[in-house]
Amino acid sequence: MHKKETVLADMARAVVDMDETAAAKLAETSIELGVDAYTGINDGLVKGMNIVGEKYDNEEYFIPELLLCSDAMTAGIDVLRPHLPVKEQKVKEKIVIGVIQGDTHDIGKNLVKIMLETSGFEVVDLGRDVAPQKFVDTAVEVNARLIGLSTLMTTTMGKMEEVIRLLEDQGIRDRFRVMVGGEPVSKGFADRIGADAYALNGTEAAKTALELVATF
Amino acid sequence: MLNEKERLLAILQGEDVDRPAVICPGGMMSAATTKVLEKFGDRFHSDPGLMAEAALAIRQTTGFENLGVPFCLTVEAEVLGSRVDPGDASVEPLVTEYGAATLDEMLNLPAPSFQRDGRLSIVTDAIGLLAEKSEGTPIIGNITGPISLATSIMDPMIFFRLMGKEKQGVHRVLDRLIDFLVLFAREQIRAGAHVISIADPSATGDILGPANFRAFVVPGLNRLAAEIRRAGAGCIIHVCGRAGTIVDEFNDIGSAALSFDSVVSMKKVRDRVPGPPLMGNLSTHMLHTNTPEKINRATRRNMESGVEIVSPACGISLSTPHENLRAMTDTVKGL
Ligand code: B12
Repeated sequence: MHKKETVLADMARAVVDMDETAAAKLAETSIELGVDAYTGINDGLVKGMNIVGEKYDNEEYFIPELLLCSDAMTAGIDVLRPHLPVKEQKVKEKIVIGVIQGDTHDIGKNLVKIMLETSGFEVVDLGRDVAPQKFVDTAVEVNARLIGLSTLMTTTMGKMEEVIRLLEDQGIRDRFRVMVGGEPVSKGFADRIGADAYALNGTEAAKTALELVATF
Repeated sequence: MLNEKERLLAILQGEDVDRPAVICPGGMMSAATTKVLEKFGDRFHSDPGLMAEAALAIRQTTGFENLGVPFCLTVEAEVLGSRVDPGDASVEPLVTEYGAATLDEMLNLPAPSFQRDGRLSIVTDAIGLLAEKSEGTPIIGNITGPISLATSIMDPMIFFRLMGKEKQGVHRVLDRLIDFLVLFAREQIRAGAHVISIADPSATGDILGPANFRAFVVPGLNRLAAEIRRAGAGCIIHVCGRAGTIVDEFNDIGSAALSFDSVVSMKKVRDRVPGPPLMGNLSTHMLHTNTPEKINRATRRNMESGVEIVSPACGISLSTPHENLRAMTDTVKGL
């Protein structure tokens, strides 16, 4: 039988072990033991996912493992979410994310999405080959304050700048923070096109997104 | 003196030759640039005559010692159910909608017809046309590697999960896709391709990790290489990414030249994988953004690293300047 002290560590372990079933079951156990759902998510499941992020950065885990770990985390969160007190079910900060038009490379964007979700963002994913106007329209429509742009090709980098110009043209640049990333993208490029931030990878992207929220 | 075709084929047989060859195979590693493609409207991915002419024009402008078709990674996925945006001179074709969502759906895909379906015959017809005009120049046909093909038919995020959850099913699907790729390679060889190049960008060690690479990638590449050799052509396998963690696996891949990304030290590969001819690996970033003088020096260093075939390290950007590609090919040719 589990104790309060060990169940959180076990939840983290289930995530690291890619065990969806165990993660969901342990989440139930944690509720039965009286662990509050918020603690279960943050000090159990998300903590596990952060260990996974480290393992990925250290090349102990690769993308297939990372995805299965993230599924285990989600399975646990699905069990705990209904138990969150109303005040903790606060509206999540939204970020619209996608791969810019002309580019099909979306593996990196999808990892960034997972890490953003792990950090508590609601990610509105537009997929790949997304027209600049679509980013702007969606961000306005869903009331997101953050926009994340991805590309892996030098050929399509120019389209990122278009998103910023469109925001300016519509007089709504101030309402948004734009973050860019992908192999050919750099801090220098972000500065040149007038984006608010660049991040190297998923872990950094999540940190940077939190920092951007603090600038409003 | 050896002509371009004799030299490349001799290298691929493991023979000593006068100097390295300098090529850009096509497929993912296409040397097509917007500047060349612009002259051919936007049907060079779908019209055999235009595809062949574009391939000839690419060789003419860049000086690469081969002809290579197609110029994209979507031909096979398109006949296996995915929807493709055809692209144009400024952007390569891409999959817009995946053809399958489950392994069963992938196993039940109908076998494509090489005469009728999609752009399969566009590629083989283009090779046929090139064969008539290519005296002395090797024609390289290209196929999409098994993992990249699988993840162009099914969302990679689903497929990568299944690699962990349903290993048997994934192996079955890959076997079927490889059966198809073997047939496509044979059709290209029958049409006149002297060499088949395989690129599998979604199967990098960075993405899959060494264990998955060993389990899911190496056996398939081995089989493809063996079948291509059996059909009478040379074979090149390109591996994207930081191959550091997986380089030792290549001692198992018989009978193909190996090509690596620019982050890989060819000297180190040579130490660890003494057998096969090596191809590589001028940074595509450098080719895009640097000056001909710098590229000349980098090409020399590249030749000193002991590669038998000089080539870009991966797929080049469509906006790469011709002078830069020329600087690279001229250097190898000693011009
Ligand atoms: C896998 C791959 C493919 C797969 C993509 C599958 C998929 N669904 O994504 C397939 C086989 C489809 C493919 C196709 C092509 N490819 Co490709 N591909 C690659 C490869 C080898 C790896 C990319 C990858 O997934 N890396 C792993 C992920 C985890 O890393 P990542 O994407 O960099 O993401 C991380 C960071 O960049 C960052 N990040 C990413 N997005 C964002 C967004 C934000 C907001 C933030 C903050 C951070 C961030 O965080 C991520 C997680 O850590 C790269 C080589 C490379 N060096 O990157 C070439 C590469 C991108 N491809 C290249 C080419 C040429 C092509 C093709 C054009 C080939 C052709 N002739 O048709 C086509 C593309 C057609 C098109 N119109 O898009 C070239 C691009 C050259 C250029 N123009 O600049 C590259 C660079 C190869 C090279 N030269 O080295 N490719």
